[in-house]
Amino acid sequence: MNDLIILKNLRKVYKMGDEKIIALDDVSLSIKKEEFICLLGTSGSGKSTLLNMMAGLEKPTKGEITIGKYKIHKMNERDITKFRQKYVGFVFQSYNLIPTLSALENVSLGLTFQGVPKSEREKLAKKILIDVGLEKRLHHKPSEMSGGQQQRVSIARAFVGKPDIVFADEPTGNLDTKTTLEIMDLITGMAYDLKQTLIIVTHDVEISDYAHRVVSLRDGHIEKIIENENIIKGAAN
Amino acid sequence: MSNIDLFVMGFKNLWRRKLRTFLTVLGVIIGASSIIVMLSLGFGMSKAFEEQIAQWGSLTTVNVRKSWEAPQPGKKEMPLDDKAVASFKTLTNVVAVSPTLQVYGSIINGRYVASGSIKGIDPDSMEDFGFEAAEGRLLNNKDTLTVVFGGQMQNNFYEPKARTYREPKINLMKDRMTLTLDPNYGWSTPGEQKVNYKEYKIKVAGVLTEGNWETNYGIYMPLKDLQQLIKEKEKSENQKPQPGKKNSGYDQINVKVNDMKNVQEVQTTIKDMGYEAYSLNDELESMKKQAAVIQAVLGGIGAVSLLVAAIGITNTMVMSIYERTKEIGIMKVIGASLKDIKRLFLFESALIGLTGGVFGVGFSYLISFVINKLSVKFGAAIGSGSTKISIIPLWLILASMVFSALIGIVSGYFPARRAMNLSALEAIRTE
Repeated sequence: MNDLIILKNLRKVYKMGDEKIIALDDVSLSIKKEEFICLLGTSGSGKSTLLNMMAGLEKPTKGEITIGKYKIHKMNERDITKFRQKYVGFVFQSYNLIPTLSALENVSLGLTFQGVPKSEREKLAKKILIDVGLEKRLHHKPSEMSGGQQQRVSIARAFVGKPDIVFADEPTGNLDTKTTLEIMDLITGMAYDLKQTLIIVTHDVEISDYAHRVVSLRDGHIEKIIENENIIKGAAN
Repeated sequence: MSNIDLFVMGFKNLWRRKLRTFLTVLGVIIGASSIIVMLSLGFGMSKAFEEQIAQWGSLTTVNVRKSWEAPQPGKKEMPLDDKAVASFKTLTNVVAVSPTLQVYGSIINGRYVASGSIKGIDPDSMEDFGFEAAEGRLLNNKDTLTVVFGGQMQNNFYEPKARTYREPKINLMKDRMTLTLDPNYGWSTPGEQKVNYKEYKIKVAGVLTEGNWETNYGIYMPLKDLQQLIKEKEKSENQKPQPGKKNSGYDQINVKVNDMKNVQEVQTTIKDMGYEAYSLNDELESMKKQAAVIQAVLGGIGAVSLLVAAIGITNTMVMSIYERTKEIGIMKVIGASLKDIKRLFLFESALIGLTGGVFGVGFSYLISFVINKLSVKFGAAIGSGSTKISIIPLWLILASMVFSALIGIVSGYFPARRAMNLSALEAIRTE
């Protein structure tokens, strides 16, 4: 398999007043297509910063990010948004659903920006919401759903456009253990089915069992990379 | 993102905050209608001026007169003769040219007398100059000692011997009348040499429709006829032709122009040829300028409230962005392009502006209607005309709708840019 994502000597420095905080320092990593990667670390280890930079949400202070043929570190914001629209899906810890829209509308919103006609995007959104087990919650607002249900909507939204890469930032951070396992099964299962590359940020060691490789971060450095032999396959298996 | 989706999303966003949207739109309604109403008053005034001046005489006629002053040294005075008439006829946009002569005279109809200017004109040009016969016909080339009266001539007759004024009982078309060029008819100045003026029996060809002040009391005769009468008058007064005075000259040459907008040009051309040219257009121009100044002042007052409304739109949009920071961030992360975000906010503010403009037009129609209704009552009380004082032309309606939408877009531009430049990451972190 080819390397899909190549990170070279990434460095990120935040300025907090007069103080400089080095969030990432000299991080290099290659991620293959269809690989499941877990970025593991405590808070402040730089794992979220790394994810945000891969998604083009933050610019590196130094270093290179290449995804496929795109040099993310050189692109301007307009091109990055286009890139995200085409290739990237997101799952967040705090779900980030739009509170005024129903589950169906939230899921189809991304397709709206891609210019998919209404009837088709509703069909796709409905189908994937049924896939994540929310066939009875299509027209509910986020406030009318539990955390696990909201995260399912968020997952449906991330996967509905069939992106090549899915980024998940602490997707189970707000959920109880039982729901965490359900959600993880769901995410990995769908990613596996759609032959997607999945990058999950977490501080939960249990979750790392789902990944092909676990990248441990500490104080902005890669501490170790562990190949996972006994990978838990998603719900698809 | 397709336009329909943009429209639906923008509309829903505005609908979500009904009260705030309504209040902002209300601001635009007030702003737009205050401008429209103010401008409509200006148009009404302009129109009233035009109507007023049209009562003074024809707006499409240029009068070429003899200079009042002695010609400046080095400049030759241009005679108003047949040559001049011919040269005016060749000008573009000129419909007809008529030389005129005027002489003071009186019409005697039994006990009644009417005095005034007897005007000699070219009979062929009458129709072109807009004369219309209410009774009988206009003059033609074969007429001799024939007159056409102005529309108000009836009221010009009076009874010199009567102590109080009574409505004259005459029939202009049928009565027998005579004409004299005696300037003192009916008056005798003691000690003055008595001149024997001839009295001519005249035929009446027709009476004109009621027109403007210039024609209403006019007594028109064929030019050649009048020239003959003047010669005879001078003869009876024993006047000898004054040296230097050209007998072939006319008092005035009237030039009829095809359209009001060409009057100025024709007038300037004639002036450049060395003649004294005058038209009511001069008055109209200066009055219109006056009206334009007043209109600009009124419009400026109205514009202040639209400016306030525009600031209101900006405020609403900025507030809305604060409120929707997170939403904008999410949209950006899940694939809204910068252009989509900008378009969405510009569309929302344009929609506020346009809605305000549309209702503003409706509202100003209502105000205009009320103003005109009241002004008619007021006008009747002071005996003034029936002219509407508030006029909203069709183009103003369209222009104000487009302009309001434009104001919305301009007001929304800064907030839209702000939304566009929001950092997606910061936005999602906002809880």
